[in-house]
Amino acid sequence: MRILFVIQELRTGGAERVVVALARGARSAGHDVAVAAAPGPLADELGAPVFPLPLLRRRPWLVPLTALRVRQALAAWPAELVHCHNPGMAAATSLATIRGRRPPALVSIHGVRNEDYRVAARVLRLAGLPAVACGLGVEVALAEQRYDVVATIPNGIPPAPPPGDRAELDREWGLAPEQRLVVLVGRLVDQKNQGLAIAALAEIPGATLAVLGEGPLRASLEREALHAGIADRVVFAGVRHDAREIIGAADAVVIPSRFEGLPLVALEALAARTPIVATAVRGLRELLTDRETALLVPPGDARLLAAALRRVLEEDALAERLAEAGLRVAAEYTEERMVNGYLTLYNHLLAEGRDGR
Amino acid sequence: MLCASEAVAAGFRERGVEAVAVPLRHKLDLAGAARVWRHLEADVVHTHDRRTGLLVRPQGRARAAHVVHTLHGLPEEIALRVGRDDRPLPPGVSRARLTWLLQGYLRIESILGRLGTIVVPSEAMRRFLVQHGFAPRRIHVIPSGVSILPAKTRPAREPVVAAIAANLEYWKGIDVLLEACAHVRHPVRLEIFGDGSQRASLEWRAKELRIDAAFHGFVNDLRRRLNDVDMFVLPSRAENFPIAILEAMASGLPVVATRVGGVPELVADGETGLLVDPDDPRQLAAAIDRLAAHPEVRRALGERGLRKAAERFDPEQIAGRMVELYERLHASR
Repeated sequence: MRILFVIQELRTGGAERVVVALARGARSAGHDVAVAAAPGPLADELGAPVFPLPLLRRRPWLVPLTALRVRQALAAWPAELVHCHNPGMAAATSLATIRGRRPPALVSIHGVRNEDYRVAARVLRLAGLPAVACGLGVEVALAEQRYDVVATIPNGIPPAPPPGDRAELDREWGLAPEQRLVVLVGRLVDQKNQGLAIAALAEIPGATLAVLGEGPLRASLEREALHAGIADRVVFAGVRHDAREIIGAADAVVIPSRFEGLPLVALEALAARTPIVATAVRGLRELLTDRETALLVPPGDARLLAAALRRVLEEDALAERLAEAGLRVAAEYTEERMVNGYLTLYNHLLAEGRDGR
Repeated sequence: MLCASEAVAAGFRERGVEAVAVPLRHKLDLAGAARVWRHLEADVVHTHDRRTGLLVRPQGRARAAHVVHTLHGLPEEIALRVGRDDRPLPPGVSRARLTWLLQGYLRIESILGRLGTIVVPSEAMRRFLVQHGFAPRRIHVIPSGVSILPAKTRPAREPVVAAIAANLEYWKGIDVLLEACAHVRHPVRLEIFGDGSQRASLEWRAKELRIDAAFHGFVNDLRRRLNDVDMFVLPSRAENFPIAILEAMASGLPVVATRVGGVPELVADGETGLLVDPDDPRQLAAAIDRLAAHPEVRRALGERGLRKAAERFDPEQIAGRMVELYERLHASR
């Protein structure tokens, strides 16, 4: 079957990586794939036809233009199934197929801001596409808006690589041998709230924070580290293709996000047996259990975050216990399971479409 | 109940239905629509006219309600084409208007229809909509209902009185009826209820043809007046699902009508009335003559029509079907 993926960007986010995994999985199952997205580095990795889309960036009046581009993509590459990602692309896809025969389509919801779920549910109802939640958190958030997803297919990750060479990292970042390493992975945007982790780190003199990822907030985050007087203990490492190895080599992973869908970094830390300290926000609190698989702290409180980080860095028994229980959780979130879940759903939707619904 | 005028709202309140008057002044009255939207926290939102279908239906769906829209009728210009797509352009209708209705209006309706369920009164309309790209599974046929009045015996008399209740417009084919009456051999008197742009020319034509016809204009007590006539005629060129025929049947009258739109679903030819082709005065005259000459045929057709109205178009039963649809939608969440 010919599958068109419609996603806003092809940069480095988690949703994008899910799409890449799905595209690969679909292709090895014998399907043809293409992508409609704003151009980005992941496009080349796919090796599939890419049709450019404009960037919405919370400007809904660009939806018709996006729809037009999707329509052109469908004209140039007639897909039998369209898989779009997040409510904005669902609106565009629905609009693009408003006339004539509509190919079967679905939308995956990877998480939106808490205050946006109401609008998201409305957009999804009007778009009329079956929706899939990327995790329990998203499913619950939509259910609170009286919107039922057709399925929840949790994000998954490939098996963990062996941990990276810590000594080498220490050398690269200039860490003293006894210095502890805390890793934070995510685009440098407001959602990921790296500033909170920087503020917390100011209270833990023996630790260094490695911030992996790139984004528009880099300069202001660097300033924050400077103002907190810990510029020497915060490393902005940019986008790293060995992020999983670094996670494996770290002493802790911190996830200070304001909201999440089902963050891949949490799954990666669980699979790498690296203890997690995270904010108890939507998406994380459904995945992680406080004091069993991670330490959860209330969002926005740097002192409590620092205290929790200190505990996992200092109490080896606790860290070991969290890692052990976390590994069992991670076993359920495999990429293989996610890809198979979606491929089954694709076939189901295609059969439904053939029956003329 | 959200409705356009305080008078209608009061009528509903008298019957114990919570009602608010929130008028929509035109099809783009967004301010009015915003006032309606405040009331939309419902499980089912049922819209009944084009304005609410356009302005209220999407918001209802967005706010998690199941939306049902009743298409009570099609614009006459395209109703004329229900089941007869090859019809020539009717007089006074531009090619542009017809194109807009078929390519624009119907397309917008079909897109809006994807938001929920559409109810139409007749199978003919359902077929027409499916032909024009509406999803068959979204369309439900639920006819209108009519309450039965105690039947009156109508003594044979001369002249026989035939009634018609219609807007006096081209679509209703009253000009054809006048021509037909000029051919009718049996003495027949025409009682014409309703008003419209063609009234003056029709009155003039009736005089010219020396037909015994009375133009009454709009009347409020049509049901009572139908007790004093012997047959009901509706010579329309286009119809959706004429309530006038339902009311005539419910009053025990035999019906002479044209084979257009949903009319054959109401009138069984030779059973509850006689069906003729539209725009054919001779056929119409023959049918009227047949009923005028045979009081016993009139009685038999009228009685069967009454029975059919009671069995198939009982308001309670029709309302029950609508409620059943609401419940099924609500359960399907």
